[in-house]
This record gives sequence, structure tokens and C-alpha cells, in this order.
Amino acid sequence: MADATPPAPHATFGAGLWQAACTHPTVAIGAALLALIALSGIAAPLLTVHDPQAIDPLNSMAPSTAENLLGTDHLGRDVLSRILYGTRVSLAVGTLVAAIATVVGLAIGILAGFVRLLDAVVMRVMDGLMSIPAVLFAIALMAVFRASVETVVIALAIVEVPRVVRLVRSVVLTLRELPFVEGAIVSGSTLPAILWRHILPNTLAPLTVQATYIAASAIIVEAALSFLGAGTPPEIPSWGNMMAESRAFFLLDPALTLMPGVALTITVLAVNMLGDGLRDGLDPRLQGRL
Amino acid sequence: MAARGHAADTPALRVRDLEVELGRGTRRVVAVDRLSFEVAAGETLAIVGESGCGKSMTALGVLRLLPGASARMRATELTLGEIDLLSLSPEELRRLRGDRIAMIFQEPMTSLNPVLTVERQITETLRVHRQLGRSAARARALELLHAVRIPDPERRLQQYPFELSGGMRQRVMIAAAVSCNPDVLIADEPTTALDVTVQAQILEVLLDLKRQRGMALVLITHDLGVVAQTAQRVVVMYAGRKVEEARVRDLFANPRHPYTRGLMGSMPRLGASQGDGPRGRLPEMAGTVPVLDRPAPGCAFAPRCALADARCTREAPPLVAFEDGHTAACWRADAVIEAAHGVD
Amino acid sequence: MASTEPVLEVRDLVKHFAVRRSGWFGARAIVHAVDGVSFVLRRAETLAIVGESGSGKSTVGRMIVGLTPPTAGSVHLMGQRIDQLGRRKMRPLRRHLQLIFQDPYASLNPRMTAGRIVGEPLGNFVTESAAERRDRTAALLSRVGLGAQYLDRHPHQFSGGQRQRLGIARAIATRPTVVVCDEPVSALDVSVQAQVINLLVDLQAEFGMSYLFIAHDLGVVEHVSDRTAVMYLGRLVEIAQTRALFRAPQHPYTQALMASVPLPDPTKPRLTLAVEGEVPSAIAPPPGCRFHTRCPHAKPVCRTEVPPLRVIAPGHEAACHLLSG
Repeated sequence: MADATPPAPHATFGAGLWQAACTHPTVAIGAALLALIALSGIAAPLLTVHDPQAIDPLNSMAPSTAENLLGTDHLGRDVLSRILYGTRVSLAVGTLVAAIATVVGLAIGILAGFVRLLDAVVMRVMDGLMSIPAVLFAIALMAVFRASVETVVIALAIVEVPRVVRLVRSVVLTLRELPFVEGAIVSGSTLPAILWRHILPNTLAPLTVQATYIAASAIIVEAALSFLGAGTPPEIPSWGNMMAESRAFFLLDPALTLMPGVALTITVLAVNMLGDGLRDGLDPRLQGRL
Repeated sequence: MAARGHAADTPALRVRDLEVELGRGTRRVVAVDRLSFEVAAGETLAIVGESGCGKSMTALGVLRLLPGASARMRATELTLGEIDLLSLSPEELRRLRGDRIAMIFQEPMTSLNPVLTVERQITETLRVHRQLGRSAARARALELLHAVRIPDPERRLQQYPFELSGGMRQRVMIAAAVSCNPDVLIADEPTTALDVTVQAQILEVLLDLKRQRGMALVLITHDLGVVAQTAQRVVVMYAGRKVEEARVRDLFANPRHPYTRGLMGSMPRLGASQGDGPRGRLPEMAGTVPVLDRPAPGCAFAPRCALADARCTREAPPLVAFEDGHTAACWRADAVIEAAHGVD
Repeated sequence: MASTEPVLEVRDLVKHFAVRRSGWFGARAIVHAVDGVSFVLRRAETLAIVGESGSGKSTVGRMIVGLTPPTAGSVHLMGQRIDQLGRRKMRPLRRHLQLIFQDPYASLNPRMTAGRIVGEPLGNFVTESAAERRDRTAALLSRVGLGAQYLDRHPHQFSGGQRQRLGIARAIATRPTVVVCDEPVSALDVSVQAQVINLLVDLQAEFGMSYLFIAHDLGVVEHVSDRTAVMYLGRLVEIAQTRALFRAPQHPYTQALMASVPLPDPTKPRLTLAVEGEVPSAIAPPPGCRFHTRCPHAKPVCRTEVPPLRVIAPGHEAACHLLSG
């Protein structure tokens, strides 16, 4: 007879999140950092008096002053306000891609896991989608449609969906063999009720972790696309655009290129810390099965 | 093969006041509490108890195999024959384990290496501890497989654990464990995962090996049937403590602790339906196996005990010796006997 | 007490699983999990199925409740054939046919409260207000020995024995006619087993359910069951009144099984090696009588011909060539 009892899973998803934050400092640190970054993006108009797009050719390439804390770029635009406004693009892309990919992937994944006929077809389509490189796919879409943040989001979401589908499907396949799901079947619960009460709540934990990784990757790919000129249109300040534009002046003032890069690194780090912490903190039982 | 010469009064294994602690701070749990026992060469001692009673932790504590970061063991004495295990360095201990003292586990699949053949599993110990060459080790491995009655041993040597049935794996585990003729073999629930017909075979193999080699066998189990059929002496554990110890006949004829009595009573026995009366209810013990993280000052069994009085919940009872080395930790041990006779 | 009215009937139940042997190009092999099992369960009766691992006893239980589709044969619940009904038509019948699981940990959704777990079958079959359902659930909990204060707790706050009580409360919530108990006490500590066994016996007396009690512990089986069926490697080898079977087991396998149980009595004779070897693989089960490879009395006919179940005494059937007279 085993002396060990299995680890107690968290009763509700919310309680699990809270406990993960309490027991895993990386969750708290990552979340706090991310909140700070998000706040600075939202409150950008209050934090800076400069219009990030306002050109001031007479004051170009200025060093740090009381007026322009991080100096100005080659067109005399205030770097600090551009970085603050750039936060909006990065976080919006990260959040939207994660949200769209997770919701769509969850729906397809649950269907694939439960409907045997659909499974084979869906999974082959997903394999096909997974073989498309994200950056190339986004560039192709940009070539067809006009360059916009929306197109970037859609392109990245489409590429990320298969990964979510695979994850959800594997969780569902594991869950449906578990005695408590069989117990629900024997209890006479309908398929929708089983999905809603037994399957869905138990996929949330791994899904949340996956969503953070998707967000981190989307933020990086958006910056890369913008850097290549195939992402966010140049009239919107984004970190990728800033790095691309200041690249020519790298020898003159490397800080112009590095500062948006640092902002990008800190943001992705915060998202990844949150994700790693949640992975370790949320329901270790299910994580071990994946 | 005879046991290595010990002075007649030196037990093969002597444990005094063994304590095993898990966790730290507010999560600290005393899994084994001042446990003492000894076992002589050629003797079988059963340690019996339910989940969480500390019987497996006792085995790991004796072998000093506890996971270092989360568990600590203490003892006032821990001797293997003449060797003081407490004073040995980790390296010296490592050399002793598998050689003079060995252990087998409940689930052989987790303690056998899945990518090694049976031959390697068995000869590994021999080559480490005995510096045997390949062919000598192989010959010895064959001999051991014969000893644990594995049919067709030549073929089995080349097989991997996943190709073997549960019973065969357990035999391989036993063969590897006894390969260096240990003085003491600790078997932790060796037959719990096995079918009853295979269990009988494995117990037979263990007892034969013990007899032939004069080993001391410590058999950890939850099954009173296995205890009755294999052991000479029994230690009953409850919530980390020894609550009773006796020779096996005395324990079954005259259990002194209410927990032991309850355990025997609540077990449905084979042949019980042969009486004439209608099928009765099983005598049940109230409550459930205690969780160790909330220790109470008194006897750990008191909340489940029908005979408990005020003192039982206040003070932990000490082990009291009765006749013939029969000891029990119960304030109401006399009432236990009276109650039993009243019922009979 | 048991009547003679059959509530569940199983005829020639067969389950073959296809598995791939080792390697990429390995041939597909067939596991003969259950091969032609027939029996009748009567109203308010407990019929035990005993056997070792690989006997197919749990598969029989799963086929009856529709968790595993049978390869062949039929299952009849109160006269109606249910094995081919399909999910939707089977659903309304489930209130009459319930299952108690072996594993009290994995069989309860860790994210649901005790009240929701036990109330789930009620919600599926009984239309009533939330307050009524809560009352009824609380009554069920207290019936299995857990107070209403447990309604809002989650499974991990319960001990193994308490969880099994929850599983039992869920199974009896709809007052089923037949309950399949799949090793209901084998995961529990000895001191808790007795409580759960007594509870099951009491509930049966109260509600008149029929139990199909699947177990490997002969002591437990002897205590709870009216009749006992013994399975070996997918086949039924003996079935009889429990008292008769335990007094005088007829099939050599049943005899070996009983002799292998170590008795908790040191004055009884030491372990006797009742039977050599282990249960052969169900991928290539032995021809003829499946027990002949281990049977101490096997004759040539045992290796070639499958012994049918034959009546050897009133209510006592066994499948053995040596018993044919």
C-alpha cells in the first residue's frame, strides 16, 4: 500500500492561479513586471508630454536631456515616448495572438480529442499548418493584404493554433480515459455536460501556460516582422520599427537601437517567467502527463 | 551457506530509537518515532501496518537511503552485526548496501533498470562488490536464477525487465538482492503487487533463501496472512510508532493492543462463511488512518479506540513488557484482554 | 434476500483487443481478454467474480456498463438488450445500472465539490430545484456516513475511505437496480475496508440492489457474495453458491487459488505451493483448457479440447474435463 498520497490538485482554476503565485515567486515577479509594463503602455499619454510621431528635425539625435529623457532619434522624435507607445503594439499583439490561438485551438482540440472521425483529418491539417514558418507566412499575408497590426495578429494566430490543438487534444485523450470521466459517462451525463464539467476545467491549467509561451513568441515575431518592414506599418511606433529605423545610425548612437531591444527583452522575460512559474505551480499532476 | 560468524547474542540488525523526520518547519512530520527492534540471523521479523504508519520509512531509514534534502534520520544505535552504521561515511555505507544488507521493493519495475538485461542487473552488484570477472559473474547469476526458481535461466539472462511478468521481475530483484549473500534482507511489500498464486511462490523463495543462507529477513507488509505464514516475530506500527511486538503465535493468539485486535477483526477471513449463522457484519474500526501532520499529545489510536479513556488522549502510552518478550503500548492493555474474553 | 428474477444477463460475452507486437512492422496481435462468458445476476443478489490479473473480470464489468464495447455476445438489463444501444439510447437506462470504481482518487473529478460529484447523476435524471437537489445530496452523503458539512469540500480533502464513500453515494444516487462494484475496497487500508464492505452490505439490504462484485480478495468475496464465479484467462471456470464453492471448490484452479491465500493464523499449516508458474499471456492463450499448463492433474484431453461449463451439483457449475464423471 502506498505511503504517499498524490499531490492535491487545486480545487478551482482561480485558486490554483493564486496558489501558484504564492508558492512560486517567478509567477509573482513576472506578473508584477508585466503589470508595470502594461500600465506604462496604457498610461503613456500621462507619462510623457511628447507626441511619439512629432518630428523635430532641429533637435535630431539629441542626447538625454531633462526635456527628452532618452534623447531623440534621427527625425527628432522623443525616444522615451516612442518606447512607451511601442509597448501597446507588443502587448496587444501578444495578448490577441494568445487569446485567439487558445480559443480557436481549444475548440478544435476538444473536438479532435472526442470525435474520432474528425481527429485524423484535423490533425493532418494541423501538421500541415505547423510546417509553415511563422515569419514567411506573415510576410506572404502582408503581401496579399495591407500591412497592419491586425494582419500580423491573424498571421501569427493561424500559425500558433496547431500547437494549442495538439496540446488540448493530448490532454483530452488523457482525460477521457480517466475514471472520473468514465464515472460521468456512467452517471448518464451528456457529452456537452462532460466536456463542460470535466474536460474543460482540467485543460485550463496547461492551456494558460501554453498561452504565455504563445504571447512571448508572438511579441518577438512581431518585432522581427516590423524590423523587416513586413509588420506594423511605420506610422505606428513599435519596437521593431524603432530598431529598423535607427539601425542606419547604429555607429552614431547604438543606444537608439538597443533601447527598444532592451524593452522587448524585459517584456518577453516577464511573460516567460510568468509562464514557467505557472507551469510549475499549476496542477503538477497533469503537467507531468504532458 | 552459513551466516558469517556472529557472537550468539549479537543480532544481525539492531535498531534503537530510530526517528525519521520529513519536511521542515510547520510542515515537519515525524514519520517514524523512537522505533527499536532487532532481528537475529535466520529470523524473519515482520513489520506490519497500514499506509502512512511509517513502515517503508523505517526501511529507508535503516539503510540510510532517505532523500537527504527533505528527510532526516536519527537513532541512538544502528548496528549491522558488529558494524556501527551510524559512524560510517556515505561511501562506506554505499559499499555495505547490496553487500551485507540488501533491500527489495514492492514494484520491481521501478527498481530494475529498464535498459539493462537481467544478466547486467544481477552481475552489477557482484562486479562492484566482489570484483568478479564477466564469466564468473555470469555463472553466479545463473546459479542465483536457479535459486529463485526461474525456469529457463539461460534465456532469461538476455531478457529485459519489460519482457518479464511481475512475478519474474520480483524473482530477478530477489536474485540481485541476495547475490552477495547479505546478512540482512529488507523486503518492503514484496508481494503486494502480485497475484495470490504468485505471491505464494515468491514467499516460498524468500523463506527458502533465508533458511539456506541464514539471512535475517525483515518483511514489511500490510497483510496479516503473510505475517502469520512467514514471520517468527512481529512489530505492529501505527502512526509512526511501534504499538505492539510479539512472537507471531502470541500476537495472533493474544493481541494486546486494541489496534492489532481491530486489524485482525476487521479482516474478512477465508472460511468464515462455513459457520451456520447468517452472514454478519464485519467488526469495523471507526475513523481512518491518522494524518501525521497533526499530532495529538496522547495515544495516536485513541480517537478510533473503543476503550480509550481520558488518560489515552492526554498522555502517550509507553511500551510495556508482558510475558515472553510481548510488549504493547497501551494504557488499557489489561482491558483489551478482558474485553476480548467478554466477547468470546 | 435474493429472488430468482434475473435483472442482468450476460451471454457469450467476448472481448478481443488488437495490439501491435514490438517493432514497427510487428504483426497485430489479439489479446483474448474475455472469451465467452455467460451468467445471470438476480434481483437483490450479490454475484462475485474473482480472478487474478489478466482473468478479464474487470473487462466483463466494463462491457456491462458500456465503457468497453464487446466484440461479441450480449448484455441484457431487465430483459432489454443494452450492448448495442449506442450512447444516446443507453443514457436513460444508466440510472438503473451504475458502477463503483476501484481507484477512489482518480474516479472523482478533483475540481468538483463532493456535492456536485454526488449530485451529478441526480441532475441527469431527476428534475428538481437546486435546493431540493442539495437536500437530496446531503441526505445521500449522510447515508454513506459523511455529514452534510462535507458538501462543499473537494476530493483531496477526503481520505481514501471517504472518497470511496463518495463514489458509492454517486452510484446509488439514482437508486439503480444493478451496481457493478469493480474492486471497490482493494485500494483501501484493511481497517477501512471493513467499513466500506459493511456500508455496501447495508445499502443492499436497504435498497434491494443487485451487486456484481468484482474482486481478487477471496476473503472479501466470501464475506459479501451470495454466489461466486471464478475466472481464469478470460473464461469462467466455476460458478456456484458462495458457501458451496468455498466449502468444496471443484475446479483445480479454484482449489489452487484458495490454497494460495495465506491464512492469518500461525497455527494453520505453512504455505503450500498450490500451483506452479504464472498466468500465461492472453495474446496466445493455451489451447484446450486454459489452465492445463499449470494444472497438476492435466490429462491429454485438457490440451486439446475446451471443457464446457457443466452442472456438477445443483447450482454448481465447473469447466473441467476431470469433473465430467
